[in-house]
Amino acid sequence: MPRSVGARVLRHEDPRFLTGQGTYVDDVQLPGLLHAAFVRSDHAHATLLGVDAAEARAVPGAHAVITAEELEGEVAPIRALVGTPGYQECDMPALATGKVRFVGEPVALVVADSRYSAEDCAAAVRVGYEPLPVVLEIADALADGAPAIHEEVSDNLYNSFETSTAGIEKAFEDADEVVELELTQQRYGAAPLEGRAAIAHWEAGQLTVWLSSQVPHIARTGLAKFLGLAESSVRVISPDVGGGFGPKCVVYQEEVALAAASRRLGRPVKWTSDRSEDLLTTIHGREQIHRVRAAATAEGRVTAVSVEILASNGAYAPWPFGAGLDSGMASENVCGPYDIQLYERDVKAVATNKAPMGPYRGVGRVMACLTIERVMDELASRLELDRLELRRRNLVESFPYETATGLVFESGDYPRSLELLAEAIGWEQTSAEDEGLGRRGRLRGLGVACAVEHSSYGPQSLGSRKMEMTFGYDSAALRVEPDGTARLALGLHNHGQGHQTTMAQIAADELGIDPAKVEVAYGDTDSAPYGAGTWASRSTVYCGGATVLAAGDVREKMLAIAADMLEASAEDLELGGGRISVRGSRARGVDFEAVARRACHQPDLLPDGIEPGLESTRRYEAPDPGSFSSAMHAAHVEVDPGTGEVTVLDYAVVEDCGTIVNPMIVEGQIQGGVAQGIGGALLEHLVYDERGQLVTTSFIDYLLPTAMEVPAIDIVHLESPSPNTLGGWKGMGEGGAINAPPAIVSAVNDALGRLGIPPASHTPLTPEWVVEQVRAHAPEARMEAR
Amino acid sequence: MKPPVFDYHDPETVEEALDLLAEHGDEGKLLAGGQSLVPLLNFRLARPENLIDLNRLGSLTGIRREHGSLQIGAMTRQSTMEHSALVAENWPLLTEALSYVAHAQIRNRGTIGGSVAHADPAAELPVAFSALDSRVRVRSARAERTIEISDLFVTHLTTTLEPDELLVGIEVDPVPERTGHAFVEFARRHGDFALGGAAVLLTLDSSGSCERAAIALLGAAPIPVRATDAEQALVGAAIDEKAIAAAADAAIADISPTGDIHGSAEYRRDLCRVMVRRAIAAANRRAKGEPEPESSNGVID
Repeated sequence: MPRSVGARVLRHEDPRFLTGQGTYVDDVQLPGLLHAAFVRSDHAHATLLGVDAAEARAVPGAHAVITAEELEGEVAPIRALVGTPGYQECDMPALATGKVRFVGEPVALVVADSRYSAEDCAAAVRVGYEPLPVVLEIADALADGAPAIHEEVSDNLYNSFETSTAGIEKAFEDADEVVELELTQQRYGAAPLEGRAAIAHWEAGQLTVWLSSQVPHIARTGLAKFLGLAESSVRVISPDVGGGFGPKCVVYQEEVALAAASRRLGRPVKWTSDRSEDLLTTIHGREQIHRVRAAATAEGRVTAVSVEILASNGAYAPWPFGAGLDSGMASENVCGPYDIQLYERDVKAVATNKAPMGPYRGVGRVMACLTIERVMDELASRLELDRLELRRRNLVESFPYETATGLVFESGDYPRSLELLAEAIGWEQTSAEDEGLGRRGRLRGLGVACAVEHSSYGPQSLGSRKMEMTFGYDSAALRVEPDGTARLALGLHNHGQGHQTTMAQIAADELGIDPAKVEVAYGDTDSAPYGAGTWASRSTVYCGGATVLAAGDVREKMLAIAADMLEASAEDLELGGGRISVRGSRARGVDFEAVARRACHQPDLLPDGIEPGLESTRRYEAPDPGSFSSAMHAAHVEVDPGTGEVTVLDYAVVEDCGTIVNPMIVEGQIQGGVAQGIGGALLEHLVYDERGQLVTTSFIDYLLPTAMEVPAIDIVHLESPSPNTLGGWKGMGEGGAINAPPAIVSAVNDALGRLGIPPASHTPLTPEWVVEQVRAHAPEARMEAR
Repeated sequence: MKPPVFDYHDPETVEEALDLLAEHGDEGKLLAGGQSLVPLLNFRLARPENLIDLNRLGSLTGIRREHGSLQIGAMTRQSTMEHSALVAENWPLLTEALSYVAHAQIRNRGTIGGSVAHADPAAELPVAFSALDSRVRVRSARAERTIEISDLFVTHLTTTLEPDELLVGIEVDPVPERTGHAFVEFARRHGDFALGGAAVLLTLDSSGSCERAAIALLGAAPIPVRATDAEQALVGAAIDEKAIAAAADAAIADISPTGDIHGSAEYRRDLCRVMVRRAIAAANRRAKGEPEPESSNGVID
């Protein structure tokens, strides 16, 4: 039977989703279910004077109005513990205590018969505020005498550190060219189709929480801790989850408050965020400023990079990651796929009166990629070199390659990737065609962006972050049932990644059966083995590895039983096509089902020393420091100088994620990521006004790309297996979101450069920005555009 | 995001609806397609005590030609008009305008009368009807009247309809021979509220000079506005680059759009000029029967 790994197996989960049979948290109904709404701060920074709930409690249908005071002693503040030097921790109370620090922060929890009456009740709660000075921009937060957002966080710096390679100063002194740029990136976020949602049910001393989460076990650990419960008395069930993208791997205030409310009321309580709540309060992403200096030779070899990284981390540090994630990960990856050994960084994670920032697909690395790719384009322009040629001169060529920040790229072929990319987008021909003012006065341009995606971090690599827990492993529990079907329970979660399919493919190959016979389970902490869920492109390597180990155990046992049944030696047997047979002689074999039946139902016939049953639970630790996929993107855009519209005409991606389990699913990950990247490049922006009010609180104003804004994407695969991971897999899933903004910026700069417009070093590139540039530098082009 | 409590009425006849309006007009709100009202209710930006649902009033639906004029029932779905061959052949400006209205799912529910009565200055239909010098037919329990579209809009989301009046239909006169049309707009994404746009009708005489021009601006003011100076500047002229540029300048001379995060007032004003320029050029091309240029992204731009 051909191997299933590598095949375009149709997704096992799709019939359920496509026929509307998915079960999301909001679909769960329980007897006696009550509904919650939150009273949220409408101030960005203010002292809380008091909460008056008298009128609210009289609203028909109201059951309870719960404030911070009432939770005192019942719940502990959420506090991310991070032990690295230069890190300052802070408390995040379940309900605002003493003061509020961002618009949308939960102040009180209202429980009522229905969501309708809960909202009526929440509207009747009166909250007294004494406004404090609001700190929104990074520069304001770092200014001398800036108002402190947390007493515990001096200078509004959650995190601050510097590193430098010896000899870097000399490289700048000796440089033929020094490029200096300041780059800025807006705040934008995940906006999953399903917003956050939870049901807390306290019953007989046990807490069950249905939670739209990427990390059910981590959520259980957190909820038990903050509610003072034994972890064994808490069960978290994360059923179908309508997209995560990072923000659903932290524990939120609402979840802790909801559990406390259920414990108090003895009734299940549901809260489903509406879109405004989701945009206001679900972890935001991005918002960084980079100031970079790069030294280079006259031949275009970049010899040294120095970067100052500033991130606006908002009002709190999410648990368990803390507030150092974005800026730290950006700083590890600024040199991208390029051989640059001299590197220094000055990294700051800054507290501001905006929603907390945390994990979002491509954490930190979007900005790292924008930074180095702008350096490359700038250098190419100064040296009058083709942009691809300049990159070729700098790409890492031999593996393993250790970077200046201690990452080890284990395998790949970056020059070949770039070559394939040039072919896919038609770089030379398209460049030539794009010269001058195009059809109807439109401008066209090509852009490129290259990145390496660090995933499946090893335990030491994650341990160096000194968080409360290290997630460098995951688990798989495989059981073959008496009828020969298999059940694979995993520590991951599945919210768009297709794990129900890919993990079945991996297990099926190990057992020599059809993937359709493998049922994949996850998401319920009572039945899945402890694991860290799905984020950071970790699951294929970790859970795939654990599956290989667990399936290997079961396979060996089945071979031993089959050997006994066939009176052959186990070493002479092979599995495949649902049979276990003597190598080369399929007829001399037994059906997989017969061996399963013997193991489970006929212990009397088992050979001596073989325990009945076919089960194994295994853990797999990823190799340090992790696996490294590469992604190279090219965008072809058209710019309308009249309106400022940017249209992405063509898009090509060369992805190398090692051995591919399912190319169709890899392509889906790339397409979705590129769509999010196009959003970040051109459309998506969480805009705060000068008082710290989020202006973009609905999809009228928060602009996600639609099918109309996303072109068909040409995807080319290169497979350089990882020599370090089981299966040769490397994590992937974020590259699309990482490379697309810099690729589009590069393309727009190419187009506008035809009019002598200086290149952009920021996102998003809005129509108004484009029009301003054209008006300032080439007003006549506006009349040409039709 | 749930509305506060309201009473719900679903009359089966126009007369019943008018009686309910007479009773609750001040504290009532009419529910047509619900594509604007329901979000307003859910955001609690509209808090009517009574909701009068018009969806059972079959007599208010339909598109037909009477004595050459187009008669559109107020409850006709936008998608019905979008796919009407009668409209496409004789009033193609409306068909083109509808291609910009939100998305197919919304047009399946949204109604023609609802969009006009809602009076959003960023909506396409009121602008197209303005360019076409349309009239709306209005009924109340007291009386029946016809309002010229130029007398309908007061300001953002406000019309001259009385609280007890129901917009029952829209009338559009035939478009003269040798008329070219164009509806153009620009939005951040396809289907969004436009940052600016223009509807143009140009009637040429046999020599190719402009006999009559109608230019209505989208998103330029709190109501759809007609650029009368620009229209007059075009009449009698040959439509060349210079005439188009002059008309576009005249069209934005007196407008002051409202800026927001998607575009400042200055950007929007400038965009209206670009839109007018492109719309006049396209209308002129069509009036002369010239071929359509190819488009890179599937929409006329």
